[in-house]
This record gives sequence, C-alpha cells and structure tokens, in this order.
Amino acid sequence: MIPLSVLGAVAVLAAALWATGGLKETPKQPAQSAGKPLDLGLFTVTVRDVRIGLADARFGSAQERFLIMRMRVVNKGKETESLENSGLADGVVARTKTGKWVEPERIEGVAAGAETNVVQPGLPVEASAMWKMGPADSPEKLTVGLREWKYEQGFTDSDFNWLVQKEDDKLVGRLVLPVAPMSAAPQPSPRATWPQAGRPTTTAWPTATARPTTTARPRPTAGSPRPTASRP
Amino acid sequence: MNVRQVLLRSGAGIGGTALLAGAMWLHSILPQLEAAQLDPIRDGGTVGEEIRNRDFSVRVEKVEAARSLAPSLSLGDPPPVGTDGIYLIVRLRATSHREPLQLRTVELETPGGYTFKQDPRTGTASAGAQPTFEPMIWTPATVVFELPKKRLEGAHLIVGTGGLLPQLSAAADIDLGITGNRADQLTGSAVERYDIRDRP
Repeated sequence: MIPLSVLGAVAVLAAALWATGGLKETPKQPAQSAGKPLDLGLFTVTVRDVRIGLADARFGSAQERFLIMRMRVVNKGKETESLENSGLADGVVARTKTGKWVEPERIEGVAAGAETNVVQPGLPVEASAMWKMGPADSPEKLTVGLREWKYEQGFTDSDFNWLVQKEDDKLVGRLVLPVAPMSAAPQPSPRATWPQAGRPTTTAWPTATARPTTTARPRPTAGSPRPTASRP
Repeated sequence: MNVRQVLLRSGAGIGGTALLAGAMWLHSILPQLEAAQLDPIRDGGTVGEEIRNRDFSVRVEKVEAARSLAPSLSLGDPPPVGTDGIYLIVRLRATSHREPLQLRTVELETPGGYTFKQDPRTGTASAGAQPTFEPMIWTPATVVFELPKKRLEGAHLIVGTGGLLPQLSAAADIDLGITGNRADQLTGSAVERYDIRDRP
C-alpha cells in the first residue's frame, strides 16, 4: 500500500523532472556567440567583435596597444551605472594564457555619438572594453567571459544592490572571438561610431591613415596559434 | 487498497513535496526595503520655493531641456554632445546655514523608482565640480541629467549633503512640476548646443 503510493508520487515527480530538463548539470560557462544579446541581469550586452588597436595611455601622450572588444550595452536597472569600476567592467573578463580571468583596464563608451563613462537606464551605449597588450603579443583568438549580476544584499550591509557574481568562475556566457589585426581596424577614438551600430555618425574617423606600426610588426607565432590573450 | 486511496496518497506525497519546495523558496525571499532607516531626512518643495533644513536652503529657479550640450573645448569646432534621450538642466541657488558645504548628493528621481545621477558626460561644458556653498551667500549652481524622454514626467530633484556617511543628514526633495504637458513642452522646446556657461 505505501510502496504503491510512493511509486505513484515518484513516477509523477520523475515525469516533472524529465519535462524540466532532468538532473543534468547546466553548463557553468555556456558557449555563446557574438552578435547575440546576453542578459547579465543588470545589463544586456551584445558583443560585436575584438580587434587590436592603439589608444592613448591614461597618463601621458604615448600610444599603447590594446585588445579592444566592442559591445552594445543596455542598462536594465533603475539607476545610472558606471561603465568602469563598480560598474560594467566588473562583469567583463578575458582569459589569459595561464587561465586567469582579468578585467579590462578600462571601458570607453559612446552614446549618441559622444563620449560617456556611464550608462543610463534605457539609453544604450556602444562600449569598448580594453585590455593592455605587451609589444610582442598578437593573439588570434580571445576568450571573453560575461558575469552575472544579481540584485541582493551585500555581505556587510542590509541594502539591496546589484552585485556581480564572481564565485566559481560561473559565467552567463563564454565567447571565443577572432581577433582582427591592427591593420584592419581603425584607431579607437572617443567619438568613433560604428556602422553596424546604426547610429548617426557625427564625425568621420581617420580610417585610411597609413600607420608604420601596422606593417612592420613581426608576428611571433612560433608554431601553434595562441588561443588566448596574454596578460598585459 | 483501491485506486482512490493510491491517488490520494500519491497526491499527498506530491503536495507535501511541493509545500516543502515552496517553504524553501519562501525562505530565500527577503524583504526589499527601499528606504533604509538612516536615509537622509528629506524636506519637500516645488520650483521657485525656498526649501530650508538644518544645514542648507535651496531654491530651484529654472528647469530647461536640451537635445545636445556644447563641448567644453571649442578648439577645432568639435561636434555637440548629443543624446538618444534628452538633457534636463536644473538651475538652482543654495546657501549654507552654519558652515561651508557642498551638495554631494544630486540626483533625479522619476516615477517607477528610476534614479539618474547628475553630470552624465565628460567633455561637455557642464563637467566640473559643484561650488561650495557659504553661509548667507546664495550661490548659483547648475546640474545636468541625461534621461530617456519618457522618464521626464513627474521627475523630482534630490539635493543633499551626502558624503561618506549620509545617515540622517539633510536633503531636499523638489518636485520639478513636470506634468505630461510640461514634458511635451520641454521636449518640443529643447535646444541644440546648450552651453551652461552662456546663461545667467
């Protein structure tokens, strides 16, 4: 009598379990592709592409090489969010050769054709996450991870905030993106806008300027292609 | 043992499991208190009214809108700083009561719980620190917000002393008087290349 009722309950629960996907572990770092909007909780990010480019150093006037990932960012929250520290940058990581995830050195944003470093609720931003590169680095692929944000209480206070989930290397999406070499990509500029973004361009950027560094750089590929970016 | 009994017992088993799962889910839910107990104390008011508290007095003089802002450097004729939404410019005057102070919390709150921080863009003429307000001197200040057009209606300006520990400090909550009609009017009359330095 009891086994029968238990059997019935188990059968129904097993059916429900099967219908909802079973006990198979959901992937911790599901592979995603560029061009698809990814819901990170606080932001919706559409990764566009990765290239190597030159940008002004933060201090001084020298130019440095960066790996630049372009993406479209929409703030789904209800407050103005920063693009850099304690904002979007906390949830964007790139994988190094040694398997470490590193956050970008900086993120530059463009909204409506002008520079910005915040993203307002409901106003999308074209952002460029930038990782500094060594002079000899030229990866052919970059592995990028996007972390999830959850609206929850912090460890030390009772207020609810959007907190990035940094534990367990759990990611919303893991993208392996081809890196466009520097010669094919124009120089990043704060007022640069991108054709595929469908935004009004206010300034044309210098696309066809000859740059001596693009041709003269020997690529140190010594056999196997380097799968990931190296740490700056 | 008949079919009815079996169904009843299996139903009870499933129901019990569901209740347990529900209890665990309920346990994970925490109340989200929007107002912490020690938030700054707000005094309310409207445009043109002097709002007074222990630390400072503030009066909003003018609310304007712009489609784009003038760039900070005029060298090389840079383009204006545009937006997909709209810029809301609030001109106010404030004075301190006891000691020099700065208004570190300046936000725009709109219905639905949205909060917009001031000074959204670098590279505009607006970018710059807020003035220090001295006792008995009414000092003008201008704050700029960038927001979607549909969020204009019902916006409130929150001005406070802020700082690292703003518990129970003073803040003013100013209803900017943006009704639906006023929002349309602001959007319609929004200017290009608004330069904060030009106007009184």
